[in-house]
Amino acid sequence: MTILETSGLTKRYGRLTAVDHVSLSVEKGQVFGFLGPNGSGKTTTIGMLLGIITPSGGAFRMFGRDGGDELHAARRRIGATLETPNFYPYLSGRDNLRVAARIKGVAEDRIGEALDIVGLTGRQKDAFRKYSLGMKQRLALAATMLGDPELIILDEPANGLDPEGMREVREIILALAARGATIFLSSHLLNEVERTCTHVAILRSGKVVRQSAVRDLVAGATVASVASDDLAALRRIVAEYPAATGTEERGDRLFVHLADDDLASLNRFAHERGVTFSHLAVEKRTLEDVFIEATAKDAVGGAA
Amino acid sequence: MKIGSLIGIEYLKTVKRRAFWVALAFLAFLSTVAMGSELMGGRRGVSAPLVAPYSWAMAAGEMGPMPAFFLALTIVMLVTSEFSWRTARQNVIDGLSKEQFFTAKWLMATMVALAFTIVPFAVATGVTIYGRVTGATPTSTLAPSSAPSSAEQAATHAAFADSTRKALATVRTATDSQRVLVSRQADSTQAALRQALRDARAQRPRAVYPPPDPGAPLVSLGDLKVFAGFFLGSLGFAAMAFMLAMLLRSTGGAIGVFMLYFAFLEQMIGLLLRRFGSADLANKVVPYLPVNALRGPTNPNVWHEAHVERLNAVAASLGQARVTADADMMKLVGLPLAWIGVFVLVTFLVFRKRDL
Repeated sequence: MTILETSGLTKRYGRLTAVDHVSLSVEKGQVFGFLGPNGSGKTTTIGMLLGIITPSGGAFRMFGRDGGDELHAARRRIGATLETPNFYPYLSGRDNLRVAARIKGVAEDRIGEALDIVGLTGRQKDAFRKYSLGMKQRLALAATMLGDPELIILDEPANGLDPEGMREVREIILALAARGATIFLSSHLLNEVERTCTHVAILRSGKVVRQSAVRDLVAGATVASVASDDLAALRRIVAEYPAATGTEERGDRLFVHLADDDLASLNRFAHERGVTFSHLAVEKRTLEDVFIEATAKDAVGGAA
Repeated sequence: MKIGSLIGIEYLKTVKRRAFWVALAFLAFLSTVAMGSELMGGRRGVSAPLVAPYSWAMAAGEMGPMPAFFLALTIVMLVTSEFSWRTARQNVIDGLSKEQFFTAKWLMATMVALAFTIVPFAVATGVTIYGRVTGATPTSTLAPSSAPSSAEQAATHAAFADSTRKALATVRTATDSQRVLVSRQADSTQAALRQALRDARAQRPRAVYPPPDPGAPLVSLGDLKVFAGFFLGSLGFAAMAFMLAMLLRSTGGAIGVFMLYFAFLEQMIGLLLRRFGSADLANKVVPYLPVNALRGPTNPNVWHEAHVERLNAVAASLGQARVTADADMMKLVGLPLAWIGVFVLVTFLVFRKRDL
């Protein structure tokens, strides 16, 4: 079931096109990462989905609904934050959640449970302004989970957190996903996304340049990292190797892009020509490699 | 979402805001000082300024535009913070429509306007009760109306001219050797002028105050009308502050523009009309401008007949002109309501169109 679907969603500010024909599709149960460099249009896109920014063009559907009042009703089934955690600084953590619960029409007795999940029960009576950044992010997560939303939209949930805070946030997100919620989160922290998300879309200058399952994105062509005492000979035989699609040299290593994943064949080929590897390893492609590749200047118009 | 729920949300946000209570307490304090200073036999020598059954009418005249300032400050603060903290945005994300957020905020502004009207009138009733219990009665030498009578003016002028002549003569007849004493003589001239003013004051006719009626209700029907009028005017200033806060979204900007318009710009418009149009045009237009229109219903004299009769009795004892009140309901009620409608509608249309 498609939970969220956008088609040609566009936002222009004068001559600047902040979001340019973004088409996304998020299925039930996915943890969907929305990646992009700063200023690529992630927050603007989410703002349109949440009804606080009016789109200049395109359309979107949530839970299969579109248009005015229907979308408004659909939004009550969503828990979301945009940019920093937005709360009343003079209200306590609990009172801030009371405001959110009243707006969402959720019974106030659910607040305790949400505070418990994010580990803020002990500090619930303290004013929000006294919270650390990590606690603020956790309170935001508590607010989004009130009323068991089917879709949770988080904008940079780990922004500015220390590794410990990031781990806590990651665990809460995975726990929410385990409870059956679909999660849509934006981030520029690739490592975090790779660890939490099942699917990603990469945004560059307002355009979606990649969209797929994380597994499929990081799979694909293999890169072999090789080294030898005779670097010149190594260069020569790699250039002759039929399955090599390209090479890069970094320090004393040669990174060979292979059309297949047969490292044994590469090793045999070199050995037969009198070159012995002092190092041979597979370099796994990370989301970072894909991201850098996709957001490089010449990548626009790639798989959209 | 029901109106009750919207009010509930705003109530929670407002009552826990310390700044709201500080502003209200400050208004209560200044109201007490304004009415109590006279109680202590202050600047006008009135020992019981507020007398039933017209104490609220007297209080409304005493307070003037002060509550409007506090009200505007408070509303600006309560509205703009929703933007600076981005909680307006979060409220919409959480499920309020922009229309509901707007409605909730305007209801809050109405409630705050009511609170800021109730407080000074409650203080007035307190002062009235104090006056009744202690048996203090008004013993002023000056009528509440500030314009001096013609007899009083003539007496002042005469005394003034006389002592000035004497003082100048002293200076003129001074010899060269006495020039060094000029500064001292200047002092004595000033002293002479001060004495002249004291003499003039002593010659003023005494106002005759009708004795207070100890059995009169603390709050009369006329007082309630005064309250309603004051609330209408306050609501208008609240709407003006609300509009500026919602459109400018900055505390400093909204307060600045409000104060500037309230204290200065509207008079400026009047002056410009007089200068580039005509006096006739200015007289026709100026009463319809917001500050004038909204101050109309805060004038107690248009609502409280018994209060006006009392003022006139005092004025007659001083030989002053009668107080008249133009009770044109279109101007007193229709015009402020029209301005409130304009402020709220403009705010709504712009707010709905703009991104949060």
